[in-house]
Amino acid sequence: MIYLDNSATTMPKPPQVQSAVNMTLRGAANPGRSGHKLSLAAAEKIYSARKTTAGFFGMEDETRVIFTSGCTMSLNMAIKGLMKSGGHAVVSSMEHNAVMRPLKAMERMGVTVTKAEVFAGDDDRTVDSFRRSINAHTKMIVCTQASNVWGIRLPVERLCALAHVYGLYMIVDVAQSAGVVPIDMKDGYDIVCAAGHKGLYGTMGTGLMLLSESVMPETIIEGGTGSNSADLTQPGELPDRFESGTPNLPGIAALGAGIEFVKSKGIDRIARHEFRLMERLYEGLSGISGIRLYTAAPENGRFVPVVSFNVDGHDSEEVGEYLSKSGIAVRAGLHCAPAAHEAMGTLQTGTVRVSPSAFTTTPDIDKLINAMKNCKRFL
Amino acid sequence: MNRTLIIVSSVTYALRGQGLLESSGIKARINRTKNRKTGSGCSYSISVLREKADEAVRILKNNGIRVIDRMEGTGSG
Repeated sequence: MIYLDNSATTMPKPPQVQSAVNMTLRGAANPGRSGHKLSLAAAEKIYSARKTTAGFFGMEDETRVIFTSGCTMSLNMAIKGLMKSGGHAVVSSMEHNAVMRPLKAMERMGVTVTKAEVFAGDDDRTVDSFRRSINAHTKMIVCTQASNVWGIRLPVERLCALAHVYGLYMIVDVAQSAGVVPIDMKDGYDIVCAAGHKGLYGTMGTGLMLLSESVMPETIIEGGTGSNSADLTQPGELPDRFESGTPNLPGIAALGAGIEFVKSKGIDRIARHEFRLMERLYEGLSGISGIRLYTAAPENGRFVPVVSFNVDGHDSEEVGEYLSKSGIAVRAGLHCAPAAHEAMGTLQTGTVRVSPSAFTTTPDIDKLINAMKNCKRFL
Repeated sequence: MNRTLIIVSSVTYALRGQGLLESSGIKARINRTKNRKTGSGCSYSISVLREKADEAVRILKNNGIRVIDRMEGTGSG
């Protein structure tokens, strides 16, 4: 099977990630709960991953790296933790349901939302669209750094500056960009939420909530932390405040190893490799009649390496099924981001999304192009 | 060997403190320790030689690590 569904989760995982999981499964105890050697060794593994993560995202204080079960959990913690008392949020027209559904659920608590239109290739208009969406009750801008459907990048550095001019929090969802776009907390983001299992090459069930010095959300989950247990009040100190329950040690160790893998390869090198592949794909698909592409060719700086397309007269799921039968794994449908599809007019059909990884090869892409050249005979 | 246990709030701070002290040339070990001040279980301490304890506490505090208590002890820590 040729795997081109890396925006859902990267596969394969690097050997060092697999080793990290295996090592913890073979002999690791519950970290931060006991004083015996196995527990302390487990705590050291988590601390090491925390330090690695902090360094990767330009953070000086590793206690502000919060390990979560995924980007969705991180976004729920960030949004609900800052909007508990109500208010207004500005989001983009490209958001994933990990942003839209928590905000929808908070409508009953008085939270309101405005969707700012994204203008691909025109950052000035996009920033202006966000500015016009801010009102007297706005508390935060929460948006993706890059669309998981279209790959379109948002000018999050400028949106962050805009947010701070208006005294708002800036929360950035980097689920699709971490690992192919450098992200530095020193750029001023209040909270950055990331998936651990995509471009950071960790395992599923891992995510990150990175907190700046300027923000401390309310908790939405409380419980055992292995610290100050006689006090029924949730600890205020980080990371314990947000990390109740037994940590996912195999996942966190794998995430640390995944980030080390990305560092060793280099973000720029990985991005260049993936963009070369997506440019090749885009060119190949452009020459096939009946295939519809929705964006300009993916270009490093304006996109992340993802291509979405459709075949005229066919639902995206049909094309996905055809490719699966041809031995190629892609993702069809709405990609949990109906807002992004609505913005591009593909809410009814969905799209076929192709997403590479550091392990994808040119022959993989050529096989997909050839399969699409032949698709009319089988669809 | 006489040692001092410097109690901190969590294993994360114990590990961070251990790294800070060792980079300053002070050998440090981590123990699970009952916090006698709050009566709470579930604390961790950084064990250092007694003669290094004042300097160790100073380093920890200067680097933003809250020292909850210190206990004088004996043994290898």
